[in-house]
Amino acid sequence: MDLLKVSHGYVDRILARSDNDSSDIRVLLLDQFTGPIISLVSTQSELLQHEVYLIDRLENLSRDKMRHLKCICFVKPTEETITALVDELQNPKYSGYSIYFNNIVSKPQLERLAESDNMELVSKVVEIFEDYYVVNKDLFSFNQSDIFGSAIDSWSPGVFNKVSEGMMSVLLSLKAKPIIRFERNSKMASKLASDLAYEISQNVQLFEFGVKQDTPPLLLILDRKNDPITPLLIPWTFQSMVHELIGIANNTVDLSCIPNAPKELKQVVLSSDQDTFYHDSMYLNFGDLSDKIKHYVDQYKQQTKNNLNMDSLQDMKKFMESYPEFRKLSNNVAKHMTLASELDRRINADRLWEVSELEQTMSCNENHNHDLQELERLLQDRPNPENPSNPVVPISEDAKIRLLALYALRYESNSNNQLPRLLKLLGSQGVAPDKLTFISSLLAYAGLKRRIDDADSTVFTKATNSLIAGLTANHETDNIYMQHIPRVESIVSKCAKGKLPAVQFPVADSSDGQQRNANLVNERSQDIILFFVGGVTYEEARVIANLNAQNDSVRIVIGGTCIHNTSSFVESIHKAGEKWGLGVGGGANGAKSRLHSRMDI
Amino acid sequence: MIRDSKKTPTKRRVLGSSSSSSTPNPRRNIIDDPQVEGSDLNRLIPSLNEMTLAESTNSSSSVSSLSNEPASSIESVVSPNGETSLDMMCPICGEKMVTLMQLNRHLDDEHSDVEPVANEDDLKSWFRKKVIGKANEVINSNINPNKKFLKLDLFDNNFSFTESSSSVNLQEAAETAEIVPITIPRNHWKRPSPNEICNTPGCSKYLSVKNGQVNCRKCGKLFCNTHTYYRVKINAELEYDPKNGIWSRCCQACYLGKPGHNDTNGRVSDLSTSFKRLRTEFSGKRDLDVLMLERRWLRFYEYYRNLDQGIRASLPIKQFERSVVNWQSDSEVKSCRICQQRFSFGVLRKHHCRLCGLITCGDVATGCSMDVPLNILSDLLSIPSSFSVATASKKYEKLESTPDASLRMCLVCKNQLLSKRLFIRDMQSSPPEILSLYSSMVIYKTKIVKLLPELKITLELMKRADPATELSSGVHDHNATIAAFSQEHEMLQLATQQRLKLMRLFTRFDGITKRIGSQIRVSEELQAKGHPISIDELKIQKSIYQTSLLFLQENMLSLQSVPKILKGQSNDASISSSTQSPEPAQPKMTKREVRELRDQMMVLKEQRFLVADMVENSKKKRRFEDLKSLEDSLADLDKAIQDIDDKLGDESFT
Repeated sequence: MDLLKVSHGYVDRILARSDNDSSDIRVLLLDQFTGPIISLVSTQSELLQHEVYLIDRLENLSRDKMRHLKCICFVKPTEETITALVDELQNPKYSGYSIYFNNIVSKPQLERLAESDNMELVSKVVEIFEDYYVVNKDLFSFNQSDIFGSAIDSWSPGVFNKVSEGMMSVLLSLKAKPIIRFERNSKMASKLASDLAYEISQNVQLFEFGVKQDTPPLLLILDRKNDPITPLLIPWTFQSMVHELIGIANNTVDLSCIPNAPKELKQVVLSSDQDTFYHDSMYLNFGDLSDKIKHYVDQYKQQTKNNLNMDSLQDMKKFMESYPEFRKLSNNVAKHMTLASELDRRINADRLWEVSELEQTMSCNENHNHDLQELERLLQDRPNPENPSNPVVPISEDAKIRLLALYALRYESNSNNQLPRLLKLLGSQGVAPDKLTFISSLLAYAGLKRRIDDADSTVFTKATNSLIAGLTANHETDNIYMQHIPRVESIVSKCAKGKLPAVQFPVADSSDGQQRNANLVNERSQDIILFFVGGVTYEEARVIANLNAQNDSVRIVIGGTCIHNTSSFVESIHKAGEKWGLGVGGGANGAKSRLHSRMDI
Repeated sequence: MIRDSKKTPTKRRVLGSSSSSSTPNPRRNIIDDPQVEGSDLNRLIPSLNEMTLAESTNSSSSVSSLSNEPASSIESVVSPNGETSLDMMCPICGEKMVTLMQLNRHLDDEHSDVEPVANEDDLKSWFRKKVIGKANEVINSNINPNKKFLKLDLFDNNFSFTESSSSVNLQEAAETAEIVPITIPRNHWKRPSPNEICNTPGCSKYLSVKNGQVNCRKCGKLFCNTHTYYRVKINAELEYDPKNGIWSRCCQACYLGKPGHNDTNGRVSDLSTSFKRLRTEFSGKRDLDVLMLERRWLRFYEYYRNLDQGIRASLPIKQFERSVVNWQSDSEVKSCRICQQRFSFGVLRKHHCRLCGLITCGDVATGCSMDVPLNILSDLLSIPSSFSVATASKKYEKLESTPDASLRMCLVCKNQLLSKRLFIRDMQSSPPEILSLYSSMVIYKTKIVKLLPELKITLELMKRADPATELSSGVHDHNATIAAFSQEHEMLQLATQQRLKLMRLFTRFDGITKRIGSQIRVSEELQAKGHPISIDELKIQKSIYQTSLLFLQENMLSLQSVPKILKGQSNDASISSSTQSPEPAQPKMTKREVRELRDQMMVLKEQRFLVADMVENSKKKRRFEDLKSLEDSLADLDKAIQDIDDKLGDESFT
């Protein structure tokens, strides 16, 4: 259950030569989907080592004819790609082709290919299953942020197919023929679950893995709407913070927007696989991270000092030998320094400490009066009564909207709910009414009535020392900025104990073996694949990574349609709200209609 | 329910710790036991009734029998054995147990998974699981209540009754009844010795009541509690058996060693064979088509040949064309079948393909059909075997002299007829220079990679031989010194030879690299001037150039450290030789000294070259922080070179 190892295995498989193959220069053709997949798990130098000296896109029609080179194609079996391949084979640019598909190829597609290969150039057609983006060793994503259809709780059809195909490849690459369970209140999760169950029953042969497992793996499909809190909170660990404040796309961070960033650091790669420092620090909170970076820089300084006093020839030689290593180190130090200082700058500029404190108390403790007071103070940019001398920088509009959204979710059923008044307050500050519609969209998407009725795994969980039965979890109870624990943790612990209630998490129907599955509901899962419809967060990935590190009796992989930070989550719900039209399917409850009428003003 | 059972821990904790204390009173404790459990049970019974045991008619009777049964059985075991020894037996299978903890655990592990069919038994096993297991859990959780990381027993076996309907339960019970219950043997269990340590590598906990003392059911070794939180299914032969095995507690190694557990090879399905089968199906049909086209072409060929030889043709060309293949009638076609343009009089004319007879346009831009000169065609198509080679070539020459002889064919036929042949011809043409350069590069590279470790081994041997010679020279054993010296000398020679060979290889490799570099420059210049060049080829050249530079950098460096060792070696040699035959020091430099200095000089120059290269690089990439130290070192190197140059004086080779 290590996604990185699986993908390395696949890359090796693609690049491997058959024994009688002479060493030759080879060309690697990718398409728009597989390009990022390869770049996430492999490096240019690795490809060069395997004598792949030219990498290009299959769609690129201006490629030169090089009929002395062999070609490897690694592509996704979409109709466009097959057409491009057919064209390529009818007018071949290279002397031989090995074709690797990253998902299941349909029979007609294969026939089209076979028909077009009239020069018999294709030596291999292989399906490997990596139609997803491996972010960490236990985190994957499909990079689909716009998943909603025209009605609440429905899929956008094109995206649904992509996600369903992608999930199939996840299961196949992990060699998992799972029990599929989903959150009952979510139509999206249910649709995905039954589709996967059907597809598995249609591809029985592919799902014969030889080795039988003691207990079948569990695929649990969760819906983001059942935990709308986690993606609204500012996270405080390295990977999450980089995503929150700067943004990570396919493990690449774009630093070009950062003032006075060094030129060669315009784009940096954050890969837990290639960067040991990052591997060790990606889940550290900001305080620990600062210490770690300081230590790293000291270590670097020590080395530079050594390099500076080169007296003898001996020293010179040593330096020359270690120079490439040294260069790597210095690049890496510069990278992490730039990242950390940018994070620090943003935290202070946006007053994130204060904002986060309120976020955390609101999400973990129920104290309406206190929260309301504090919220109003922040919304109105009033100084802190404890040290009023501090100059007040107004906090950003987005942060205010987020705080208000949290308040709206937290005290939705509270009789003293002041949401309409607060909305008006923000409106009077010049926040565009369009932006404020997000809150009503959010309530329509993930309000109290939309969430699963689940008494003991509420979304407002505080980090405690309480027992996570069967699993060891590491909670930083003393850290007020990390009090909130994502709901996913309690769900995982229930899975590990075999106590996931079948009423809320039913098993997906498949035509066969339903009876068998019914008995397995109460089995304790040893391999768990979690999938978030509506996007996962790095914070949840961190929770899962912690659980994985501390319990080797359970292995968990988590994924989502995309990886959210607060702004991307807000944006996706806002966009979806526009699609749904305000109040559509919202179940006209009193509070909401009141809210709408207020906002029309 | 959970809350309720947590009220009992104080009593149970006494129970747990008493078994470790020196004067236990098992009888009292055990009798105590069911009372606690019984009272607990009374509270639980109603809910139980609702949920699972709808058939149970008289709950009170079952309770009474239940509360009596386990107590009496344990009692009977205990009483004959006296108070001091803690020997007791499992009431169900008669296993002997050492401690009460062990018995409890045994009950949980062995007798909880098997669901007996009978109602009463069902209740009993449930009782054991629910109450004893729960109490166990509480004990465990109370061992270290203030610890930050808490672990709960994975084996607390409290069955979730809330969800499973009674029908499922019954069915499950029926299923388990069909399969002969497996008992996992335990004669492989290791007996605990005093001061036994947990067998998990890295765990050094002493096995005690506190840390636990658990046998892995599979391998039988002893472990602490925390390192047996794993479950696998095994059968009576202690083999992994996911199908028929029963869940058993095991150690980390046995859990992680499960077959398929560490399998990180994702599913791969090779479609090559089915693809090739499909391809042969299609190619059979296509080959027939191609053959037909070739036949038709051949008829044209013969017709023209005859014409050329002055033989009157039986039909005029217009009619002959139609006799080869039926022409599609003009009226039924409105637009070109390839480019879909509509025909119009005078603008887009209709053309018949002479090979298939279908109508296409003659648009030069789309190339839907074109006149292909016969001589090109016969050049591309090898003349069929029915012609003898000599006559064919003769005809061929003659055909060339008739320039007007050409054949209009459509794109489809052209591709079908020619693309494969064109492709094969392309393949046979000589490859671009970069490929041959690359292949020789690969040869050198493999040689270098093979030779480098050999040299390293020799050097390593020499280093090891070093102290030995010193020792022997200390003893002043003349013969031994000489022998050692000659051996050393041999090795020195060998190392020098290997080094020379390597240097030669490196020089060649470097030469090729430079040649590729110059090629890149040439094509870049061409590109700058606007000449069309193959961009992909340039890309390939560049990446090859880069990798070979990297290879040189990595491996030349290790070679550079070689002469140092060699030099040190020769220094030693000169000293030992001087002790053998002391010579008066000469004012002039010895040849050996000159050679050494030259060696040094070479190394320095090599380094200077490399550093200069890096300086250039940093300048190009604007890495000024590196530049400073690099320039310093460059100056140092220059100075050192100058020094040696001075020393060498006339002897310097420049």
